[in-house]
Amino acid sequence: MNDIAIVVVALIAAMWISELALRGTKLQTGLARVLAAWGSVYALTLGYTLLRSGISPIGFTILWGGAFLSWFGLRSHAESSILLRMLVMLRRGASSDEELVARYVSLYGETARIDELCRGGLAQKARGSFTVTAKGSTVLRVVSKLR
Amino acid sequence: MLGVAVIGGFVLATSRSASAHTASTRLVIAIGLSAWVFGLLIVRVMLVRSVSLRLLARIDSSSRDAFDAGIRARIGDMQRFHLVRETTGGNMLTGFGELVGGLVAACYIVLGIEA
Repeated sequence: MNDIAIVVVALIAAMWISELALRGTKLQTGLARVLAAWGSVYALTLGYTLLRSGISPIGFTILWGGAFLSWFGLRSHAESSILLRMLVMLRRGASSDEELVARYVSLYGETARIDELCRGGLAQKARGSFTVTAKGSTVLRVVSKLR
Repeated sequence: MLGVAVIGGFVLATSRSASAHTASTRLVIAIGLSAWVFGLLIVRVMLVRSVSLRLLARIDSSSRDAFDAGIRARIGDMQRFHLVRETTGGNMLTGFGELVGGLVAACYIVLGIEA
């Protein structure tokens, strides 16, 4: 049970350090810092499991990978979910569909999203219009298979 | 379904050779596999529903679909999940919506996400 407690503490530490590393930036932008945080805590905890714990390193690695993926999914969802953002907006009072969409788009509209696609290397501006990059095409192919 | 089968198969296979010595490792692997399944599921949902990726697909196909159609659809989702109800004054949070909205607002504060 002590081993499990150590792993839980390590996971909380990785999430906490990630938040410190991310402060003020979006998860996509700070992904390298987040990976470094999770990687560092993983290495330290793996060292402990090899030396003193009854948990196998393979088992610990499976858990760590799954925990990172779950945290990444939830954190990313909290940050970018339109539905959750609208729920928070509605706490200030009732809104019609048009008002709600207009308020959301003023915060994170088409231009901001295209900028983000360009920053992520998924789209580019060429001769006055936007085109999808090779990376963007690959992402679209993967997503179309998931649908 | 595949994820549930993998986790179920692992638990069944290892329970036959159960020993107290390997209990921690078996528990950690079972939790780890569950976390992988949950993580992959949530990332898949995000990719499939992403408005930004729909916008990218629109750029790719040079289509002229309205950008806000995907955003507008979320209002329907909120109604379907009983988070909001339509009133004469517009969309209003239900009791459940107030609860979820409060939790999300608290998460935004803790995570430093601009509301």
